[in-house]
Amino acid sequence: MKRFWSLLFLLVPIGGVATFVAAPYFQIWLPEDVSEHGRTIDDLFKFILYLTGIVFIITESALFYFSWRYDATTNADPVKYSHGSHALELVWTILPAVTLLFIAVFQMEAWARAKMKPPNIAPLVEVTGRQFNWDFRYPGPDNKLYTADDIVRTDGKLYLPVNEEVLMKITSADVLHSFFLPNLRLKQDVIPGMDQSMWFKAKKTGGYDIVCAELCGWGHYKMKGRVYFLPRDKFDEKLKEMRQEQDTMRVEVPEEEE
Amino acid sequence: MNRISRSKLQISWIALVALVAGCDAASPPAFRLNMVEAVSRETSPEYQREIANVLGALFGTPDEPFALPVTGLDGAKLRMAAGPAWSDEKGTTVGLYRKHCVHCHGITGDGRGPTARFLNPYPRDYRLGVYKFKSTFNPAKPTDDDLHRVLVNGVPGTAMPSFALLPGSEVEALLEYVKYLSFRGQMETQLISYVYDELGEEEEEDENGNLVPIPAPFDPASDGDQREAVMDMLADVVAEWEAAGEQIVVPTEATIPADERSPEEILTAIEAGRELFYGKRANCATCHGPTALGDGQQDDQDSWNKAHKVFLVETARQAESIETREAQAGLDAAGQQLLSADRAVFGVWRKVADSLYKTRNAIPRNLRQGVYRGGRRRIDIFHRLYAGVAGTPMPASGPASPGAQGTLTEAEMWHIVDYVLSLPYEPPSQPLQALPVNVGEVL
Amino acid sequence: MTTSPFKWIAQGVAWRFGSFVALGLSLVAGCQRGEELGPLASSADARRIREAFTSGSGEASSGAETVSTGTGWATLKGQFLFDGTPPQMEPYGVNRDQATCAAGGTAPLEETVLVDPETMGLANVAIYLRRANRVHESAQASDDTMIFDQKACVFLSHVFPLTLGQTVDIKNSDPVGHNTKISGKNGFNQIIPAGGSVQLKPQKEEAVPMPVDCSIHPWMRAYFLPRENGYYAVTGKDGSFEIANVPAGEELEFQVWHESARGRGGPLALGTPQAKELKWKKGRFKIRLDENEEKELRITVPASALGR
Repeated sequence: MKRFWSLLFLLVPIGGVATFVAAPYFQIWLPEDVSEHGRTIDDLFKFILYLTGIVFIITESALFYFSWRYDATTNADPVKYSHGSHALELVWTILPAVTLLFIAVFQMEAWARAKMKPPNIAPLVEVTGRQFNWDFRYPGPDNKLYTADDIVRTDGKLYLPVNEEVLMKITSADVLHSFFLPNLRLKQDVIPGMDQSMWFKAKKTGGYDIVCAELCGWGHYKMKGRVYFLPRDKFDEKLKEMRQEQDTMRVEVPEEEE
Repeated sequence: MNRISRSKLQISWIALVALVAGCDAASPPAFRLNMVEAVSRETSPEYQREIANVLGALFGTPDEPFALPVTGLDGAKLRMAAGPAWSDEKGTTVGLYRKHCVHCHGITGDGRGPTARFLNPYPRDYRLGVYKFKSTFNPAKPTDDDLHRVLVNGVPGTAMPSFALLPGSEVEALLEYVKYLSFRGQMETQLISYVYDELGEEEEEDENGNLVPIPAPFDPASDGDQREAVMDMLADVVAEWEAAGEQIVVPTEATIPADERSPEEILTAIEAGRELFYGKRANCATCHGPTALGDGQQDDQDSWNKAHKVFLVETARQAESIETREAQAGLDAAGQQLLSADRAVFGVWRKVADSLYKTRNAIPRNLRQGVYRGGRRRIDIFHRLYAGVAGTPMPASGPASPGAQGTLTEAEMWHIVDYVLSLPYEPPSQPLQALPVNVGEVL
Repeated sequence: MTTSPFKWIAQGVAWRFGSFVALGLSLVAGCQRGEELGPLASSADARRIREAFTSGSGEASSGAETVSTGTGWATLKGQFLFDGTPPQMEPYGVNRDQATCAAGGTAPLEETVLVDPETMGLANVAIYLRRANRVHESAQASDDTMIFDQKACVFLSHVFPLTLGQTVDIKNSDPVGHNTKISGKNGFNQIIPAGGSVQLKPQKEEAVPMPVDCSIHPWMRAYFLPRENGYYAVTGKDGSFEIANVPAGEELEFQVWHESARGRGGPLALGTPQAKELKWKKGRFKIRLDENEEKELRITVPASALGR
């Protein structure tokens, strides 16, 4: 068939756009956002997506047109040589550069708010990543970490209050890890020996995923956890419950089965 | 060569390489024998095969587990945990052990999966039936609850993660399978001992007038005595596990500290705990160090590493003995015969020794990092003190069995729990060391 | 090839060819697995044996073994002699509590092969009856408590046999704490306070003596042998032993054990002509004693049997 390859290439821009359009219907779009700043991040994401999407469609269409129009099997026109156009070169260098500069400046505020300006509150929990589990340490009633009344949980279930600004410390016990909360649009890589922080305000109760986003070894794929957002009073209750469990001094002897 | 035929050649090379790479057809995983045990007890290859057959009869294969009713193991749970990992239409996962555990704990539960050699501490070898973090007396087996707790909380400070996010039924299936692997491992050791002790008794004279042992075949199918002996051994192994429920250490109500204590009471308890920590009755500081950093006695090993170390030491001794004799001139005929026999034996030992990992000493726990492997609840730390940590140098301070004599009273143990939980935190990036000048005064 | 080899190289075909070969070889090499040791179970045999276990078919057990029993009692005694140069024992590395354990700067010596230079007697050989049909009163568990003591970071009884039913008092006569760890079926690992003692009543018999150590002082070593009856002996300093009131008129099988047998410890395998006469196998020998006989055995142990 004539001009087969250029028509085949046309599938690239069509397929690309179709995937993005169809994605939400197949549940492969952005996960549910339950954080306060997540809106900003998602908006930024969509802005950049549309901007680059339009440029993508324009450039791919141009590419298709040229490969279709000048296909060797159908085009018998003699070759024309051009010495280039200085003006065109300037335009298509400056325009994208300005766009990128714009994007860079536009997103600075969002980045700074999420990464560079921690709120001045006491950390609510310290998250330690180890191969291949997330351990959580709450400071306990004295609000100081690494004292006798800390609550340490290793079962991968993190409890936090909802509708409150939360500050967490994140450390690594051994190698590089990355604490990733997809539903809060936040991710923090940790280098062993370095203390990092993460802060956010969650807006919805419920249980959401915690995953590790930095290859840390063979178990990286299964280094998961669950974060549960609870109303403040239930959160305090939960802490008390965990504290009591930690102070347990009795054993439950199972009933004798006959 | 023109362009088309050259590219055909290249494509056919790629295809051939891919074929060869994928050619390693996966054979179904199989249980292997505990070679350290078998070689130490001089089990001949024929007996090894026969023992493998009996174990196959009693416990099946990794794809098709089997357990006699007397073991009390739940067949449905075993089948859920065994075999290749896959999910059915409803989303139920089968082959849980292979999905979650095999890469560290190995298909035989020997703690030698593909990733095991890179871990510190090494993953647990289930075959001895010894578990560290449990609520029972020192020599007793763990309860189902103890194993459940380890699966759900993981072991902080090690590579054992938490499986709390799995549905309860899957956790139960996994713990049943772990018990199954322990039963199998313990039976294996018993069968190897039985074969060494009881079989191979008959002898006859060969042409040189030497007495040559005739190994009696180990075949419970055709020998009723052997069958009975095997069933007795199995009953013994099962009985220990079933008795775990009666061996739980329950602290006496009267000695348990009150839930609400005043700061003075807590301080008194901590002071008392400190006295005991450095005293000559509990002797905690001798191993855990004068400042509880774990820098005391570091020369002992836990039972898993010790067994391997003994094996490696013996292999080295055999090597040295053979070398000395080879260097010697003028060995008589009997000596030569002995030397070649020893060389053959050494060959077998060396093969097994080469497959073992580097052994490690049991470094006493650094109590200043806030990481308590067996759990941070006060009752967990109490259990570590009362019953020690089975399989490790950590001794019990309480009785060895219900009704036996203990060393410390329960009240004293609760004081030590208070003291341990009050120790100041030492960040791992800035490790402290007890000053040598202080050690003599402190201890 | 239609082109000459030189052109072939010049055109780079050889490089491509070679790189594919190298790639292929590396893939194949990477597919190698570590060699798995030990046999695999045969499924046919496993099935057959499982049939026997589940259906109860196959030959029934022969029931009680018919053993001829005799009457009366006899005594077995003798001496184990070392044939060779008595080895020099090395001192232990004492890294803890030096004031108590290496008083005066001298650490205790190993006790792996103890030979008395005058009599050439081999100490700490355990000899015990494997199975007894009849047990004399004197060989049954008595009510006295046995004492297992440790002093100057050395266990005072290096090989400690005891009859099941007896209680053992594990003593610590040192000013420092010890934790006595007993391996085997009667697992025990408890702190013995300085100057104190802990009682233990073992419940299960062992086939061979089990190691006893201390975690605080890891060089300490002893061996513990709980048996159902009292037909055991451990040779003293001069290598002598005596087991009284063994059943007479029956075939008795004795097990002989030493902690350095063949270098690694275990049944004392002997290949001497004397041993062959006794049909010595796996450190065991069989003997039949007449009533009231006092049999004396003087057994020579060559240095090679102890890995020396």
